[in-house]
Amino acid sequence: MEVVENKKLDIKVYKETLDNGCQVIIIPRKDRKRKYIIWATKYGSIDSNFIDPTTNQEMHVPDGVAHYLEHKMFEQENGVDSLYKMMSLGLNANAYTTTDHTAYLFSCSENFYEGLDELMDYFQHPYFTDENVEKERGIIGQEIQMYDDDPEWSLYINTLRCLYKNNPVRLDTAGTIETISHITKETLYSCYNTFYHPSNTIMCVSGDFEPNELLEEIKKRMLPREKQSEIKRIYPEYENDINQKYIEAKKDVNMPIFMAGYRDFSKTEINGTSLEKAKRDITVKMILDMLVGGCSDVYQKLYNEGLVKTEMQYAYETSDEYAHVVVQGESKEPQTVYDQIVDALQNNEFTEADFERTKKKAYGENVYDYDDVIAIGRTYINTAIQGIDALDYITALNEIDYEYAKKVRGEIFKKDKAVLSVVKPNEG
Amino acid sequence: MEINKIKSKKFVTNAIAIYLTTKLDKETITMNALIPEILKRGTENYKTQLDISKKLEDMYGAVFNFSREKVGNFFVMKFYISTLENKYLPEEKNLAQEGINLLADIVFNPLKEDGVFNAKYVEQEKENRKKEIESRKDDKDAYAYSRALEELMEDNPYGSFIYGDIEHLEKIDNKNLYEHYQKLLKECKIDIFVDGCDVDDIALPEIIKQHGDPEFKQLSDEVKNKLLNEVKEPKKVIDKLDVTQGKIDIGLRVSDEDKYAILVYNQILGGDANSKLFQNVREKNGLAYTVRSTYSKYNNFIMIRTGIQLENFDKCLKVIEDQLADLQNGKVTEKEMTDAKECLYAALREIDENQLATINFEYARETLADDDSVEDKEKKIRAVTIDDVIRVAKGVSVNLVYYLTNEK
Repeated sequence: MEVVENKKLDIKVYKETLDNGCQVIIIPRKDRKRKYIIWATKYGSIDSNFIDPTTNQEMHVPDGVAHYLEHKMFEQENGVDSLYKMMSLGLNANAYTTTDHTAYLFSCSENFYEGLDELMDYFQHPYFTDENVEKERGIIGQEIQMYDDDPEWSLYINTLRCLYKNNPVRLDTAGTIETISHITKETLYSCYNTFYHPSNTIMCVSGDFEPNELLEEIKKRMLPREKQSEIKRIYPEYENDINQKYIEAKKDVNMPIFMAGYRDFSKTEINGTSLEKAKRDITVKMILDMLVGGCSDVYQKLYNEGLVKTEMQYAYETSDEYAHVVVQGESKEPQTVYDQIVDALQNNEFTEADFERTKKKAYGENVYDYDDVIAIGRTYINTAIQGIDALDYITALNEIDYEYAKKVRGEIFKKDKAVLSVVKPNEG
Repeated sequence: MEINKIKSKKFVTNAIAIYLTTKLDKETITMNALIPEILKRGTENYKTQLDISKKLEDMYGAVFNFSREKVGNFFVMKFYISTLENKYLPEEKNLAQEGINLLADIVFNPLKEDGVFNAKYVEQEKENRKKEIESRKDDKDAYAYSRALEELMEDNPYGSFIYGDIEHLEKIDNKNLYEHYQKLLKECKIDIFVDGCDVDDIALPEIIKQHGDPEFKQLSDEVKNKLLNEVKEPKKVIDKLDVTQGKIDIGLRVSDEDKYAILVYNQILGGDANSKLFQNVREKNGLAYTVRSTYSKYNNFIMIRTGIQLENFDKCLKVIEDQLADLQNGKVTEKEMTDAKECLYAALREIDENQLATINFEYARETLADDDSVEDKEKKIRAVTIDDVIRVAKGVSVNLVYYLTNEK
């Protein structure tokens, strides 16, 4: 197995691409009782248009298939629900769907290999019938309605609708009641066969393991599959501008919530190595920490004026198809707060001392992950999907400097390209 | 005074904790709950919260936190800081010592103005507490539980709301709060814990040594509350709020003294998804979304908590009573015993996976008269028999039926 090491942190990461193409990443943590495994396919809500690698046919499936598949994967031919079975083994099992991947996971202290049996069994044995697909439609419909009611979700998806006109990242992960009405057993099998091919998957495991032993156990449970060439995904043309500046919705909230958004238009030119991506990722986060985080001037000012009560949350979300920053908060005067935030992000200075202090904080936060096998697994799967080696974050911190941070800040945080999404309380 | 050192090598951080343990009473709970909020605002060395935050960032993103709890007859303030272990730092530095120094500074060296707390901070934080007390009804599940607790405990201070009440809050000012805190520091028990690999490099900060009551240890046994009164008929309380889901909270008096047998009893009754309550109330009859029971070992009660559809009140109550009766009538299977015990062992075995859980465990041994080690606890749970569980069941009686329902 390939080994990547960070001696300072005493971490070794073992990697192997199996014959069937599945990428396995093992991060051993000695003396930990808890174990965590996550198996993800690079298939998410933005992947509704693609070329079937076996037939070379262009495929257009309804939005929401990836999520629908996630729901149906647990159902077994013998009537057993794998999720329930895993829980009765004392495992903490779950699954989720994002824009760019679908993941199945569990954590446990005991019964790891029994859990591995079940996980690898259901992942490789889909069982869809007209009847069981139909049964799920109502359940997913309810979930979609739940999302529609969720103020934070509306806030977020509306921000993406401002940032992008056609990019599928703006779609609801679960699809809509209308789109899911077209999903059939055949759609599910076709997408399963394409996207759940091992060569499109990554598995991360962390815990007290001897890596070669674990790898053998994984291999034993892999079913043979015909080789598959790379899946070509079809996305709309790159958009050179934001879609709209402002959007507003009314939901059941006590106080207005807001989200500011920025596209990172420079990201497409630097989709480079893992290290380059890690550098940009960590730098954007640091800029946000410095300019709108808990120690920033603008936060202190807003807090003292009573305009915000708690710190703002922010994220930099990227894939090969999109890159954007979102900043979320709560305020009785969202527009005023937004104006001050975008002004601070464009114009406020950060000093070299601020930069060095924030870099120390970023270092700490990256190392903290290694205290918990679950945090490790999550970090490694998320970064692996983006083509980043998680250890590169530590390396990146040594390489970035004050000038680089100022450059990135200038590229992303332009007032006239910022968008605002607001969710206000229902009237009456 | 000494640092309670727990040497562990499998983490990347040192977890540092200072606990102040004091008597719980209705007169002081409001002040005690407010104190940590004032302390976090500034110290003599770091005058503002911003200064503290910047210092934490500079310490490689060290994390500061605090909480407050009622435990039997005690009120406990807990202050934490976690720092990266020294060997993982990119420079030579004793960050663990810096961590405990900063924590001690926050707890024992608060910012003073004319010899007392800063007036502005006290007023602001009083306002925040006031909002917290007023919005107590927002979280319906927590509200129902705290109301049920009030009713179940009657005059006992354990029934008090954790933030106290507005009447007491309004009497607080920066002067009397400061004086109260100084008195508390003289009379409380101070426990200091460090869990991590740098424990041998940490010295006790001087400032801590001047505080605390060295005799407090003898009071450890007093953490236990007296037994609830025996009642002929359960007390019935109905609260009405604008809710779509109703809540039933049932307070059980537990007279048995074997806490391990009670633990197993509670686990079988409503500990998890295998339990009688979950299986019968939720799975078989679909009457509730959630149902569980929790055992308060320092107060000798079990509380059953449910969230139900409003129309299911009578039916749900009946099914719960049936489960209690079944246990009293000896309807307990070997499988239920094994499942319950396995679940309890698993929880015990996971303690040392988490530094804060380990610290809390050691604290209970040190100050709450809960002396058994993990191994002893497991042994004692293993020794519990079906007969023990039935004996516990026979000593259980319903003291309170609390119902939170809709206004209509």
